[in-house]
Amino acid sequence: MELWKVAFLAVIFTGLVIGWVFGPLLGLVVIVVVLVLIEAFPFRKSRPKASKKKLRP
Amino acid sequence: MAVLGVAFFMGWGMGANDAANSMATSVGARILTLRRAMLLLAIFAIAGAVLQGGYVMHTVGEKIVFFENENAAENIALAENISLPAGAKPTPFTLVPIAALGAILAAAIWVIVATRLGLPVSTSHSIVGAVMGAGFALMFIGPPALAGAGVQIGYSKFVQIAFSWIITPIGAIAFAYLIYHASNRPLRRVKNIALLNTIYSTLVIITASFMAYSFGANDVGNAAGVVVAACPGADKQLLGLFGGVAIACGAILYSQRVIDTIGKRITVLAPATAFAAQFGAALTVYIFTMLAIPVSTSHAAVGGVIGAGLVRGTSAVSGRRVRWISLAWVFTPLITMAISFGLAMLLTGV
Repeated sequence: MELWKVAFLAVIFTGLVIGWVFGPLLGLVVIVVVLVLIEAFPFRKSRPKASKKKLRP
Repeated sequence: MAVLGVAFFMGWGMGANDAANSMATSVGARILTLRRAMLLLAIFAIAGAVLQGGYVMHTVGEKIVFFENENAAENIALAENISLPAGAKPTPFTLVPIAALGAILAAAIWVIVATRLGLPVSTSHSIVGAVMGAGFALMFIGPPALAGAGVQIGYSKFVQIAFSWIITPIGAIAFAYLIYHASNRPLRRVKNIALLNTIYSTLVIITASFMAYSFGANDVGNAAGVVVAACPGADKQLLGLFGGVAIACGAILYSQRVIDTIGKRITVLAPATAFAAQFGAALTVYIFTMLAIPVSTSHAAVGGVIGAGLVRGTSAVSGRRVRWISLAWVFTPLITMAISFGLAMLLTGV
């Protein structure tokens, strides 16, 4: 499964738990805010560091 | 808890099958990627379910199958030690929750089977048929304890709902056709093609979000309505959140197949037609949500696509595909009614 699907599901279920405990409107707000943040600042793979070894001719 | 579990399963099935209706035109027109479509769908469907899902929940849970004599029903509930919140009225499913389980299980089974076959069938048809099937089982051969309160089927409500099922695709076709012509005239003056495409793409994204909101508000009642029937007085907003999360899960994990069927195989959509299709469908579903009537977002979405396709002439619409989908729509309530009747009999031990 793709990483974004896992992330979306994790956020949604966290929102459900928060909604269950603290009220459905707060759960909804958490889901909306965190999903928007994920999309605005997507996780990126860090670039591999340049190798110090010299290339062979 | 079992009813809640199957309601989640039902919501998941709705997300897999019907959520595609909200985003298929956008993805089919290549305006949104699948990932971004799922993000918008999750946000707006859950928002619709929490904020306005209670209307349809009330209709599905309390208006299709109910007691003729509510006072007698309350006495039966007292005699069976079923505690009800203040002001909550028991339904036949409150007293026999296993029948509610049969109803929602029957609807869920059919939706999942249809999804496997790639058919965008209606969960609204499925659940209304299933609730009626379980209601018939309780009315004709149900536990004798219920006889005193008189189990009733809301035939007039069913006729109203069935009529709305006919109006929904026709309304979406008409709205989509009119919206296309109304929006096309002023936008035709824009000569810059890139700017025009940007305008249409923005409009498509806005209307897709509106459709997702309407979908959440209308369809969550299909999953959570039976829970309301089994547990009257439950917090409808919390049930909306629960149902919305179930829908979002189904959409994220399993909706790509139906997105493909609606967005690409019925008629190929350009941004202008995608906007008209989406807006026509969303408007139709929202109007019925405000009337607390569970309509099919599948009907609305396919109607919207057909209405937009008609702009290019009837040859743009794949007639064979539409006929096949229409047949599935007609038989859905009958199939779920039969399954639910059988399951209710089996589970109540009649």
